[in-house]
Amino acid sequence: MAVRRQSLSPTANLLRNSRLFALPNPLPRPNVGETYGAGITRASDTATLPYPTHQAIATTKSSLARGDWGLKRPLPARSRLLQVSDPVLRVKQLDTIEHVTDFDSASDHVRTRQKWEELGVPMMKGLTQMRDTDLTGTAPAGAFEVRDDTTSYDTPIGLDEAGLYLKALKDNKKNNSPAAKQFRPFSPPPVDAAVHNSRRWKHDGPWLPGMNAEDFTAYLGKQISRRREEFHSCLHEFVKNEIHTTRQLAASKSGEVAPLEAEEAEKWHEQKSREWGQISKQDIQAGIEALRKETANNPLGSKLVTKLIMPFLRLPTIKFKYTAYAEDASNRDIDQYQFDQESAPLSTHPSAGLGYLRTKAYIANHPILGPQSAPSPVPARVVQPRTTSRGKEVYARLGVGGFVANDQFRSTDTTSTNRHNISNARDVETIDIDTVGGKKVLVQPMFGSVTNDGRIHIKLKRSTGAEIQVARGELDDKPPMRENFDADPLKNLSSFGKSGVKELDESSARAKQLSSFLEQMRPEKEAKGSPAQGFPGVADALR
Amino acid sequence: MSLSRLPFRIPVAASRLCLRCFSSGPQKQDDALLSILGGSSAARGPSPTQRAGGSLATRLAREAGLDRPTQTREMLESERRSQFQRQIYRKWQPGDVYSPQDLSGTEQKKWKTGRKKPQSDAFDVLGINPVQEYKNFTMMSEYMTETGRIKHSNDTGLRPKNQRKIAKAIRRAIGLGLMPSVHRHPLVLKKSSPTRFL
Repeated sequence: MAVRRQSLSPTANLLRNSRLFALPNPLPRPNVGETYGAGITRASDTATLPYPTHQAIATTKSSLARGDWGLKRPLPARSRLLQVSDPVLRVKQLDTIEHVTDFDSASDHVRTRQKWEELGVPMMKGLTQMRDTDLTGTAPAGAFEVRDDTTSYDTPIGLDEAGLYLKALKDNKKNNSPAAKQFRPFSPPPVDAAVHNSRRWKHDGPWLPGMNAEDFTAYLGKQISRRREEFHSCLHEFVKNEIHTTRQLAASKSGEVAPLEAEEAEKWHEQKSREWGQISKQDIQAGIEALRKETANNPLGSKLVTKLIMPFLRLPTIKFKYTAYAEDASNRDIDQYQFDQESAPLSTHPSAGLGYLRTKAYIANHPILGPQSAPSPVPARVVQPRTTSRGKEVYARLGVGGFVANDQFRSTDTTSTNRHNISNARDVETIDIDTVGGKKVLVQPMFGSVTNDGRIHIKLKRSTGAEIQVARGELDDKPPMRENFDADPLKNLSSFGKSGVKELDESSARAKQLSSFLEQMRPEKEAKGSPAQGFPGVADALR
Repeated sequence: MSLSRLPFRIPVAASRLCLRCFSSGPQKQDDALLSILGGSSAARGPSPTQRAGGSLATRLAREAGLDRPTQTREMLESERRSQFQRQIYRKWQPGDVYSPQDLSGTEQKKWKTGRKKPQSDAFDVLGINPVQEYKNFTMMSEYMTETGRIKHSNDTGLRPKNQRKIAKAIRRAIGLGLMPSVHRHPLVLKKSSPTRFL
């Protein structure tokens, strides 16, 4: 039972309720610069960071009027940061040498979070879909799936295949007392692929490729060396089991079969298992050496690492990046052994604390039109068109709710812009300097994903269709109109009979006279050859 | 003005003539066939009825081809656009967060010039004590300007402790006469290209 707040001392209670106590230590400042080849960085120290590093604090209206923020001293009410409708602050330093509290506005990330809430977009584990070439087509898993969100190692659902194996091995070690000479083997536990493919985001062990030399030495010296004995016993158990299994397999391969009689078979089994269970120290040593040899050849894929070391130290899975077919593939061995940073474990929960929405499978309701297939589109600012001052980008960058995201469509034309290659294409190809406030396009944010360096990537889809009209309020029920369509294509055919030659088209007065004369001369009953109205000139042809 | 417009008008006129160029004799056909298309709404592009609107001046301007995008106009337009484009220095990456302040001109100016400042303390990374390196004039030369002044920690990227130590080492080397005080060591100058210490 947790300690009740009232049972604490008054001073502890005072500290617990104070702002001073509630402010956590800030995170290290992430890098927002661009680094070029020669070590030159372009950066701004005032740019908004990709994630908040300081706790944002707010206060009530009445306390705000008194400048009371729960800090050591009241904050000046005349600061322009506090003279806004809804001030939120981050405290850079509680007290400085000049006896001032150093604070700054935290509205950038607070408003961004509010905008995100308004978007109604779920956070998902879908970083593979953000890549340029996503051929998977699988729907991303939500950030709150039980399987992905389990952080405990105690429940069976929190263990993957290797973890279950190690658990069974440890249980078997308890059953096999060290005094007994007879080794009793164990069979690996049944693994349900649907349940035990734990893709946890939090691991007890560190991410080894991300450690520097100092940390790694400290990890080896302080944490691993202490568990050496425990690991040795596990390793012995593992090797014994391996030897037992190999012997069993060899026996069955050589054609030794149990006798048919039940009693005899039992006796035979007992005898055989006693035979197989006789494992000498030399056998174990040879087994360990064989495992080491295998590990030296294939460090990450070997039995020792995958089945024993990884689950024992609870390390996240380490993968090599497959660079054989990469664009900049090299033949040097050192380049081919690169760790896949994309498979590095997340530093935050997969939702990044942005929201608890599990899926986007909800229907937006319109007060007049009812349920809509697509929710209202979001205007996205074209933060950076495809054509930049330094060349052409594959994607235009769109700003959605304060986050910069890639456009849905990628351009295949990445040739540099020059005099001969002026592109006047609109949309997101070039910067729009005529629209007031910059160009905006309507998009549907599908989901967001957090990378292991804490950045939020959003998958966007351009909004096309009826939801745009609904959002604009164009609710008139118009029948659909076909564009570029002619209802009566023959209506201009009246002038068709003319030959085009002036003299033949009875334009002269004399010809008209002659024609009317002939018309009068024609008897009335022979009217069947006369054409309908609207076909002048055909009369002459029929005559 | 009229001279400059001439070359652009000629191809248009030629294309109009082309319709009739197939018959060598005198003009026998009128525009009857084409006028069918003219009246139809299926014809793409603005219909002639819409074009008829406007004053005489606009009609004359249209006839002169001023509403058509010409090559010079496109170039002017793109030049104007690139003038704005050139003032945008920040390259946005997916995952960046921006607030209105990040889109302002003052913020863009900060992304204009690159800094050469190292991000980490070189002596901490290497585990070297700079004071003991006072005889290493190659290393000292990295931390002084070409006129022999000790570089500021803004440029060297060292933490205060190591900055004090390297300054001490440089002063010591100069005091011992191991290094000149007004330029880099001659051997360093001789071996390195002029852009080495930029």
